[in-house]
Amino acid sequence: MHDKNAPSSVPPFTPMLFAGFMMRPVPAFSLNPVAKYVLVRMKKLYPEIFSRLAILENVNFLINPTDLHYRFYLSVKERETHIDVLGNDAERPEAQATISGPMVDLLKLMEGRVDGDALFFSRTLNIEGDTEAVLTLRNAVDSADVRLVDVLGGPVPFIKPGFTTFFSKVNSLGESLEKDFRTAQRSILFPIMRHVSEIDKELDRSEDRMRKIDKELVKIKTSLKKLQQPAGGVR
Amino acid sequence: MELVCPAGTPASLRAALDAGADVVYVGFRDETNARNFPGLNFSPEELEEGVKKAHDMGRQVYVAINTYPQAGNLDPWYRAVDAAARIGVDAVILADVGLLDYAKRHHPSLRRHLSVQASASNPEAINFYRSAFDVQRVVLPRVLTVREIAELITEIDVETEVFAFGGMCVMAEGRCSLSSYATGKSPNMNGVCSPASHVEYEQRRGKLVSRLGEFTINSFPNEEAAGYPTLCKGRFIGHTGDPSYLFEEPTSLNVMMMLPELIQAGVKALKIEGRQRGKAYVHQVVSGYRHAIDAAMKGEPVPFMDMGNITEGTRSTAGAYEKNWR
Repeated sequence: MHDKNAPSSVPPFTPMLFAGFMMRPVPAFSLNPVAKYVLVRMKKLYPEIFSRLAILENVNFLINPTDLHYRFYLSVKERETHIDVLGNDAERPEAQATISGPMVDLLKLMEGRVDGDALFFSRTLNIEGDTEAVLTLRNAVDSADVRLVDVLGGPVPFIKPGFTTFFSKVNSLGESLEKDFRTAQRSILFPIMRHVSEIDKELDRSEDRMRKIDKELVKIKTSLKKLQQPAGGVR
Repeated sequence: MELVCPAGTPASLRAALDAGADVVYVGFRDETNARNFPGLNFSPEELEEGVKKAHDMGRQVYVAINTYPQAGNLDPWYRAVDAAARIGVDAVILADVGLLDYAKRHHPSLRRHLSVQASASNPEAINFYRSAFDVQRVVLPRVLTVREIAELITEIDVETEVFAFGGMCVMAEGRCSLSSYATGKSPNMNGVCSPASHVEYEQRRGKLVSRLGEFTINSFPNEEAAGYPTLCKGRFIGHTGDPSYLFEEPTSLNVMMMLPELIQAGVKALKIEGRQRGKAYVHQVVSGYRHAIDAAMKGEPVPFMDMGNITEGTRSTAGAYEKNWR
């Protein structure tokens, strides 16, 4: 059963988490046009991704950046791909597969700057539901050389050089912030996470004890039944 | 020493070439290769483009057609060999004797390599493949020590290719039935070990629980690195009552520090495993090995390169290459 209180649902301590706090007043529906624009641009720039995705039949993905208040609902239906942005407080839509991880890592994965298996091994990325669909999506996206700067750059050529410089500055600022936050996280959150992990271990031990008690109970019940049977029994 | 690198997509092929691969090996988008994963691999058109790019750069492309054809359904395998020959790839990597025979009769000038899936590890077996099907190279199973490889090379008239980095298999390559047992599908017949359609992950109280078919394979505590959902790397409860790795632990092969010995042994090519991995993995491993091989070939010390971030379970081993038992 999915445990909604699992420590993995604790949002990662990232710059995006703080950006998310500041974006909280921005309603999810107002981000929809941006997400749809990005999808249209990607379809135009990287058609190979969508031809690889076409093997999926009616699959809905919930892409869940764990440090943002929004989720992306990506659906592949009759060879067409659609996207919607949802707030975290919105009712959980029907999804066959869920991919969760820090927003920056999801973006790096989209650009092929990190390996999906490596993110999974290091437990940065979590997947649930239809594993085959998730793998198809990962392989499809990785089959193209996606560059966010090209996706967001738009069709106006003379703006592009300035935008590329701006984008690269934002990118390097983001990367330094990410490093700083990781250092801060180690010093602040580690003792807390260790405590949570101890509680988990204790819960596991309790579960084991309960299982043993259950077994003992079954044994006692069986012995009692034998004792209660009339002497001489069935022959 | 030739560096043979994996590519599951055209973008990975470009990444491998940019990072310094001498050869890129790929598969078609069907069950004819041992990495038949959804959304992965090449259409004939994509392969044609990839081969052109590689040849323009003076590099090569091999095609793995290394699963065993299914009785009564040989056409996909024959078509794959025909397509590879028509496109002009530099070699096909085959395991099945029937397919080797087909390739030799229909495309005699197409170079044939013996896949690791054939599990040929002694001079008699390798020399048989050489005399019967004129194979030019054998990809050795990951069961031999460097000394054994060196001895083997003196007894065969075929080039050798050995695995240098990537996923580890239990020592029964081409004959493993663990995946079939749990899912009905195997790498040998269907080109897929632990098919994603049968894999399920669940977060449970801070643990990642992985299942294959009806079997719980592993349960990784919150801080522990995870591995692939294969039965050989499952953690099971044995007689002791505590879960432990009965076959092998989740770890990747890495023989970078043994490069001078492998060169000395006369190995012709080093193979990187991982057509199922992303282009970031391909770029990182190929760049690392390019530098290491170039240094080793010049007789310089092999530089230490940390690959921990991309290894399975974030750990690596030199595996059987340095085993000290028989």
